[in-house]
Amino acid sequence: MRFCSGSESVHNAVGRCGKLLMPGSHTAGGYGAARILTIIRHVDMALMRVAVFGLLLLPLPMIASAQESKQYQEQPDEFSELNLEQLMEVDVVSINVLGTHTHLEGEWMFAYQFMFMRMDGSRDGTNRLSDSDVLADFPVTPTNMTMKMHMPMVMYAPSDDLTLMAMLPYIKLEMDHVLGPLSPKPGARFTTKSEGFGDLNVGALYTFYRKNFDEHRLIFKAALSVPTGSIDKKDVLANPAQGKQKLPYPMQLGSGTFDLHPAITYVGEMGDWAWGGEVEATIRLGENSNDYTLGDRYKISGWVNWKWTDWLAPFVRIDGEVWENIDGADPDLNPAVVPTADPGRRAGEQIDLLAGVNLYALGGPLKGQRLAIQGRLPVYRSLDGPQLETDWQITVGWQWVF
Amino acid sequence: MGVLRIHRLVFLICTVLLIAPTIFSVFTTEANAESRSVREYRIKAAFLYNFARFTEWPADKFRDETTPMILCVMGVDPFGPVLENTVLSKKIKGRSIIVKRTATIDNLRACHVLFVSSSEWNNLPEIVESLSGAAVLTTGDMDRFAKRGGIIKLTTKGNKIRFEINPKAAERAGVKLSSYLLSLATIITEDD
Repeated sequence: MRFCSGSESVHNAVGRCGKLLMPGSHTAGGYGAARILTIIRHVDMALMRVAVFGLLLLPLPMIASAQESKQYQEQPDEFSELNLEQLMEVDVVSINVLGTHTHLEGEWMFAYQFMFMRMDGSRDGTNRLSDSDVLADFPVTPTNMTMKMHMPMVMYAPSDDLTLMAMLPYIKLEMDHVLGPLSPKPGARFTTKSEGFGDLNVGALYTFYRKNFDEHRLIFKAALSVPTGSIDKKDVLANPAQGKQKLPYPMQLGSGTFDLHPAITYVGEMGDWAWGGEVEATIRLGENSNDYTLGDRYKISGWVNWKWTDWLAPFVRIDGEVWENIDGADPDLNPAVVPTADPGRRAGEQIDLLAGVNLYALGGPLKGQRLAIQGRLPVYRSLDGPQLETDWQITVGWQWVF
Repeated sequence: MGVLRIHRLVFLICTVLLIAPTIFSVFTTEANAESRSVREYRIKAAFLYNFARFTEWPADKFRDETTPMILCVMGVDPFGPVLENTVLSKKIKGRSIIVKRTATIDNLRACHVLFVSSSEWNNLPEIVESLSGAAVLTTGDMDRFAKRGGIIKLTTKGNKIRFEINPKAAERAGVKLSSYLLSLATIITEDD
């Protein structure tokens, strides 16, 4: 099971349920040459670090491709030992705890994931900042944030090679703040909340290459997020007398734009092992109704699964991600008050280590259902700050194929 | 700016190398780009072996006690070496099993079990007619195989293999199927 996992804000967290690698760029009107160069330099430095970790993944497909499958040399086939009734119970596509099979024609899948993420403290570049550091420049600073996301998903395979998918998240955000010496009420604290549906994700996965009878596969992912999530969430801020005010960028539930999510995924499986790598992007299309565009995102992932038993498979994974600053600005937000309202302080790069287990029900009333638990810890972060940083994240998912 | 080019180049190289071995093999080896995996045909090969176990042929179909059982494949072979591996060291009613592949109708009457590949869709009526009374157990997985005169059709339903039997076709061919085999099958009539 692949998870829709989050990073520094909700619209970035839902962006990985179906992706297609389609080169492109969002509308970037109004950039000067110097700003473009700065962005390119920033992205390239981050990509360099991500690429170093990508080198760690190089041996996997090379080793797998170099090996000959020994299944079909001169040995009696295992299925020839089964009688007719036993043969009628054998799965054509081996569905196991590794979960690497693609859906068969006519197959439906329902899935549900719950993700909890904790962000605590601020960072600028690779330097951790205290609240006091931030409050030297801003009247208000966020101190921590929690995100709870419910992600129901449905998938259908019209053919063995093509799977269609749709996912609509429900999000609950909560951010704590403290006021500093530049504000009228130093030391005062307040909490903002926002809740609702995020952006609808629809997409397709197409297996366009198979080798050695599905021991190696390349999968083309294409997805589009539809701006159903609100970008106008409001809540009471430091001064209740002012009523509800527009919340800053990380507290909004959607991007406000149609976004492309392209990706290419390699999946390999042999014996008790499965592995893979993925390159994906989030490409924003146009500008939303609040005159801004969230930054594009680029990510490389690699993972290894091991079938410890027929029902239990632990896995490890590494993600490297780069995301850009916001282009434009919401006219209702004042970037001088709080860092989260500054569109130029949203970019960053991060490398995460993930680990978890897949559980698969082999029999009984839950046969064919899958449960997965995953934890994520950042091991490297560099943010255009001050910006809240992700401390940890846990995701639990359930999947039912029928 | 030179440093930026290097960073982008390194990233591009790493990304390409991640998937390059798989892409390279597209141009150097014959990849199985079909959605049906060989696992499916390994299972179907085992079914063919079991069909032969529960079929009776007339005595004159075998020259003597040492005459092997001949399992034939006509058309584009979806099994590859799987069929040989399935029958390796196996015997049916004391007879060894040999596998033959043929592209013409002429040699089919010598077969005991015949798998007709879906590539022979247009030739199926002629194949069925030519084997009338020849005591050949015809099998296949093409669409409507049993309804078009074949004896046993292998199907895939809900990730499992199932099979349909046309009893009248078996009667015309001159082979007798056991009641056990019939009990596990979906019975098809040519008027359906």
